[in-house]
Amino acid sequence: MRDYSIKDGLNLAATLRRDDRGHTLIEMLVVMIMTSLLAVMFGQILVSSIQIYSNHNQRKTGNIDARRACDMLMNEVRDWRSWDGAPTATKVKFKRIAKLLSGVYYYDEFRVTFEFSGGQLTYARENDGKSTNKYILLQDGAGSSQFSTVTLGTTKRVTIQLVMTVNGRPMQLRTTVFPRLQGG
Amino acid sequence: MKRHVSTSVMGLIRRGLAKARVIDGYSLMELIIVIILATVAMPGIVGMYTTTMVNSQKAELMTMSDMLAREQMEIILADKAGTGAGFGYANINTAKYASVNPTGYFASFARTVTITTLNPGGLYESKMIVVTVSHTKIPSVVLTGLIFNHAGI
Repeated sequence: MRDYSIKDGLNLAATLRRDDRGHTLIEMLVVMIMTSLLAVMFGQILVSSIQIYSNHNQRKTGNIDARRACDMLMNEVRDWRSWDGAPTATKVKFKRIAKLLSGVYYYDEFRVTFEFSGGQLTYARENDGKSTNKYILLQDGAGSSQFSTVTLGTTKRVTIQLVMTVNGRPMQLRTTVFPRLQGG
Repeated sequence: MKRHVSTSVMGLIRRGLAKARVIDGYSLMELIIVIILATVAMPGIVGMYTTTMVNSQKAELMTMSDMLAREQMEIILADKAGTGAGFGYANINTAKYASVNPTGYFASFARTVTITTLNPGGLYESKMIVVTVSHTKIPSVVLTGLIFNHAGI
């Protein structure tokens, strides 16, 4: 059995006092200031990250929409048969063949229209005047976009140039397609 | 005369002290170390977002490269389908497409066309078309196609 003296007891009391002393005002102020600075910095990073994510998302969506518009034009113009009215920089309308995949290929009078208007790109498909389906391919931002049709030799080509502004930054896509029923 | 305190009482006090340490706060030094570590980690977090932005731009450039390659392929297929001077299968060759670099908004892209005749003079002669679109920030996009000397594609 170990004995303790009064001195041991006093040392113990001193230790207790030290542990209970807490922080001084200066220590607290320093920590609060540093923590506040850190909070502001992390806050700014958080705000920036949200903005980056938002911008990235908008551009990605714009890019996907633009690509889909180009792909649709390519798919439709490939089956072009004749113009329905003269093509312009903002509108192309043409008849195309329709191939139905029920085991039989047959032709139908489909009219397809791509049109830029009011910053939008719309796609319409008419079935012999019986029905019309109209879709918006690009909601907005396609202000200076245009179609161009070129005949080189005996072959027609259609080019679509999409000029968009997404988040104040330009975005452009361009592609060309030629109707497959032409030439040899 | 030396006065003594019983061991059992001292043991109780020591156990109490040990418990008291558990509810201690952090010292100033500990907090400063944490703050310094957090500050050091911050460039890593910022770097992550920078990488996201750069990769986002790369995806756009890849799409543009792809479209430019497809555009050139369509032009070549149209030229092959065309009739008259300068058109048709016989006129599809590398020299004809020596200068096909995009201009304007797409000027930062380089586009080249290489055409190789396969099985020349044979029954199944064909031409292999390789369209390459390059940009300094992304890997090249290469589109390959074959054309034959008969009607259709």
